[in-house]
Amino acid sequence: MRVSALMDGELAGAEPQETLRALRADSSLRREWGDFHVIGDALRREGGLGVDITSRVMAAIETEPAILVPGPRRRSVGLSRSLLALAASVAGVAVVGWIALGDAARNDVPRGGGTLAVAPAPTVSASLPPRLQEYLVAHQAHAPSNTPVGATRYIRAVSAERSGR
Amino acid sequence: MRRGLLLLGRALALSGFAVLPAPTFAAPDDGAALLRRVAAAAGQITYSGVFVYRSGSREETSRISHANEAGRSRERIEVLDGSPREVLRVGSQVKCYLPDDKLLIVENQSRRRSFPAVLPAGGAGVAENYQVRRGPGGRVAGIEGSVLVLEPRDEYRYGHELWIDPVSGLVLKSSLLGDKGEILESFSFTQVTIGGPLERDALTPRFDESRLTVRKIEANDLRAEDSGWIFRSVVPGFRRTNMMRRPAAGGAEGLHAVFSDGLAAISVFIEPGAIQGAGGHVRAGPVNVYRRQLEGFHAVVMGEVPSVSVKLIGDGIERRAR
Repeated sequence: MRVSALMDGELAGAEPQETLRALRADSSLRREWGDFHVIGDALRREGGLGVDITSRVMAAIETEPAILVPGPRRRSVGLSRSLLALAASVAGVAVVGWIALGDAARNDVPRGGGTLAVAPAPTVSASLPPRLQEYLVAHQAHAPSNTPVGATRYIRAVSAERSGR
Repeated sequence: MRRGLLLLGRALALSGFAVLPAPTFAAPDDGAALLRRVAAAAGQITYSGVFVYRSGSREETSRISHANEAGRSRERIEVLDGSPREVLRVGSQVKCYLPDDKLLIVENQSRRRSFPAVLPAGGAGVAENYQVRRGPGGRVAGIEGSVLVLEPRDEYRYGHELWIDPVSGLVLKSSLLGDKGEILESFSFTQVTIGGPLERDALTPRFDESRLTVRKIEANDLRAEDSGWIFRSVVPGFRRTNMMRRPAAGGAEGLHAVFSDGLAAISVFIEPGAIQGAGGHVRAGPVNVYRRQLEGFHAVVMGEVPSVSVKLIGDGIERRAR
């Protein structure tokens, strides 16, 4: 089984055990699974997200403790989209709701600096939504231009373009 | 290496570029001084080349040309992969052409600063915030480059690695590094010609402006006391370099403040109204964004810095009591 197929979520129908066995074989993925420790803790503390999702997903992950690398906590946790797809295949549930973990504006999620041990997980995407894209252009245009990186940085403003093609 | 430099020198002389008597950027005593010269050189050199921009899994190839025309920088970036896009900067004006969206965004930097720039080019600010050291040299686009590693002194900024052409001072490759040393973003020339002249239309945009919706932003300088806002939280090493009024959605007036540590920049946009969509953190590539609802206003904080930095500034924004 190819790990790339795993990452693309193509094995949604496959046995969770198969999936996890393949994960164990790929050390680069194991590192990212360590993030689930952080997410799990955060979920338990926040309590704002659906309890069903939390318990079912955490139960699936916790059946394979060997996978979870208790590595150093990263300051900011960014889950790649492919990792989310993988989580979905393991737990058999849609975990897209996890993206809401970084959503500080939700009324039902308790706010406060002490809630999370690490910086809140950002919603990670390949490109910014259109409104933010325009801010990025302004940001690039007015940032000090006398930095060593020079002109090439303008590429950021048009690279993260709205269509995400 | 010396023979290579002599050959390069000869090639540059043939192309009309003034040959420096010695490779001035090759063996600096002071990394910060090298950085200052690199920053100054970028605005002076004529060059043209192709570079690859990588960010996460994105990879795009673009052509870039730059020349200094009567003391003003003129540069053009033309994206060669995917949908056609261009950036043209002439002096203090930046134009982003997005023809697939039928959009042209024009931003003008204010010509007159009402307060002096706090941070000189790549100067003291950089050495305060980054440990500058030499790295092992490396070959980029056929040129043997000198490597500078800028290691962040704290967790509020990302690290940089720069490959510099020792003769011209042009940055051939640069990487933005996360806290684990992972590459968040990189620019790397695959081919470059240093020195003029450029091809005739190298700096002319390909797109017909009349077919695009032009969104032109005029930003006007503003004194902090007049802005109506206080930034209580200071991100270590970052100083405010700009404060401007700018148009917001629906004709309202918004605020744009820029903070810099000499290398990285953080922008804060404050506008009336509610946040559209979800607040909190968003990240695309190396750029972290933090949005926060204030009373009757919303703030968008963004920069190529760790999310802890944008959150710190964002959480410290307060309405100034009248």
